[in-house]
Amino acid sequence: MNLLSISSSPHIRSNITTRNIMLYVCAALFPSAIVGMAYYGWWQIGLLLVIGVLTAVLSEAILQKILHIPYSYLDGSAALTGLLLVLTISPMSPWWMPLIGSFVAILSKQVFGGMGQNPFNPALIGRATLLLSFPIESTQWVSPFTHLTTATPLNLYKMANFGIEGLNQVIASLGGTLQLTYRSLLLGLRGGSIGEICLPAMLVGFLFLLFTKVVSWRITCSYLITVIVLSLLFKLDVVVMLLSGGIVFGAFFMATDYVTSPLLPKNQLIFGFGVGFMNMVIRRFSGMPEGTTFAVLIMNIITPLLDQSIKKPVGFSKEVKQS
Amino acid sequence: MSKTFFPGGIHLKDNKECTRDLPIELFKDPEVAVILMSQHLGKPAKPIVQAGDKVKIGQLIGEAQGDFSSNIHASISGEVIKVTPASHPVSIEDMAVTIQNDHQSEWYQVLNTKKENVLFSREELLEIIKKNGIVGMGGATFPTHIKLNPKNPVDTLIINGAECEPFLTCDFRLMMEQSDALLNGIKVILKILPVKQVIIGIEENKKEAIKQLKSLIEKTDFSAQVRVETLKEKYPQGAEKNLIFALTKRTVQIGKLPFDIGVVVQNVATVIAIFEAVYFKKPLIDRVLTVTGYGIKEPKNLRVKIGTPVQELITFCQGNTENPGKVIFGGPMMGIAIRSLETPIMKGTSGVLVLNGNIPYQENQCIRCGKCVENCPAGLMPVKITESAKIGEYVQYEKLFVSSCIECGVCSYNCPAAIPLLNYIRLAKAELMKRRNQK
Repeated sequence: MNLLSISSSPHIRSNITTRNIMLYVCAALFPSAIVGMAYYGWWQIGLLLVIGVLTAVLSEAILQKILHIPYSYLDGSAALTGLLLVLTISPMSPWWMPLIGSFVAILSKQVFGGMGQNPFNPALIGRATLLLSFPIESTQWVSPFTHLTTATPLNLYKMANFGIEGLNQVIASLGGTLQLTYRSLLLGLRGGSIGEICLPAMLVGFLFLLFTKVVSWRITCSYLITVIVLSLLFKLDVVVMLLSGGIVFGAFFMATDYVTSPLLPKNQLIFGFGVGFMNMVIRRFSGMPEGTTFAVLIMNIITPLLDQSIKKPVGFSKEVKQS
Repeated sequence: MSKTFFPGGIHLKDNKECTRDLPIELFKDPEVAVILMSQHLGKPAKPIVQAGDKVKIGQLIGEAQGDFSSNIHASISGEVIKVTPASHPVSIEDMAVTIQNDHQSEWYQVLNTKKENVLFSREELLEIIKKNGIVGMGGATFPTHIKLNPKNPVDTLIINGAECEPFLTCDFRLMMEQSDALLNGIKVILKILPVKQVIIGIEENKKEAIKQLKSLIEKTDFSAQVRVETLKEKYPQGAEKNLIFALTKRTVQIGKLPFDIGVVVQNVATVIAIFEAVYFKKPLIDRVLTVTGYGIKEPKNLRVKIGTPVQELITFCQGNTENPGKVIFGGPMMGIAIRSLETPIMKGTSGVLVLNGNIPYQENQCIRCGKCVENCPAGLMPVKITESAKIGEYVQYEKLFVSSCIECGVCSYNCPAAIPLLNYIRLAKAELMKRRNQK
């Protein structure tokens, strides 16, 4: 008897794959990367991007070989980590910064067993390591196009502590010429990390991810709303709070990372709130001007706890539980 | 506004275009019919014929064993050549009566050729349905005489014309070509179950059927009671519990059955079979199915005798029988892959799907995207069940409501990491069953 191959249902599969998802996120980061290159120099930023991405993919391949983890270095996740890392570092970073950052980022994922097992957002671990190990190189902020050394609006804000006029007064008193307006903040004409400065570019990418259903709106919205509410509560300028520093980049691309954020919609809202809260607490009360990186990393710790909760199925009732 | 269920569900590419406009063709009687004794939920029927017996079309050859079982009838006339186990899609091999066709096409009982008014009582009607071996033809094959005799009073009858499985078009063709039979069948059921409302639920990709049934119902005397509702094209819209929720907003609680909330659901093919049994005295000996899939050159909707070996259908539709890859009874999402081309068509076979071999299930690591949780129509967390099943942590199974899974396959279908989640859930279910039975 001629036997056929059998398997259990379903017998068809959608064409969605891990690689597709990773490539979609990379594509969503593309506008921000382009703006970064245009603002800070095509060659300089292009080189950082290439080094970051290549190091991430190579480190993943090497670590998977050493740690006996099945090869998946070409599935796009390592490239994405590298890309995310470069977009969150200073445009004046020397070439070895993305090299170290990407390696640490991938290491922080592979030591826990690779894809899906890492408790922390790999790119942010890389960034945090650079920030703490090389504080000077990590915080060399320059104005777009002119490449004149400047402070980030948040650095200034820590000094000024009142609206946007105050910011410009501080700049003037420091001998600077850059004039900050809401419009320049919106377009990213300010000091900051490579990918975090231009809201329209990030928004295009994020809307693409929402439209293709790669990410949900929940974490991002609850994060941003928390930031807005707390800014009002702490009597801070809401626009300055949102458009300077990395909050938008964090809310769009970092806090929404699948692996390190909770599964259930309700918990995603809680997670978003937590990140927003930690972020504003760090900005308002700590010695650091910015806190997105650490806010996300702190909430990453809580994710496994949030993931303990179990959803009630359709048709659930208390009687069923008792019987 | 088209109605739908929530939570979960996904939109599938329906792949129905190759057969949806093809009228039902009558497939010739097979040379040899292999009629399985277990074509329904419940106990298998007992063969009451022996090798050498002459049988005629419609003759009882397998007797129901108790109430929760079903009669089996000869689908062709001829000589019984053997009563031995044969290839069965679920239990691999099961008892079957094999009949050699004598091409006389003689009927055992005289069929009513003209429609009579139904003057039977409720009990008589249930008896007719039972005697003629009618079972749910959507795939679950639940004995219909039991389903139409619920313990609780019911107020709603739902006719399932959703046909949410991709590729299948047989229910659509039946609704288009046998609308009268469908409406008369509903009339019969209304005599058995005097419900307040009858809702025919049809997915929006079958607009012609919706329009035609609506206009026909307007002309009948029970138009106040019966209505057609458009359902959103979303899988698994035709799953019983999801369909009930979509049409009535009532939820079947865990461990309960639809009649507990006053609803009975019947598939369109079953309703037409009831009509034929009551009006024509015709037992369930044939059915309409769709032969389709990437491995079939000429897809068709066919009316096929129960017991026809699937090989003949594939040959007839210009499919490759040398190396067909994977052959499925039913739809691509919930159908069963058969292991032999000698497997005969059964009462619940709504489609024969030939796919080009296996889809590669290269299981990758979970990226915790949560799509399985978001899309589960039963509101479960497939990723957590899979995590527990992988390490055999059975204490978790009950907490994760493993037994609520309807096995629709949405989780496996949509997993970016290609994890066969449903397989792990089935493992967990089986383990949970085993442990419960041991208690």
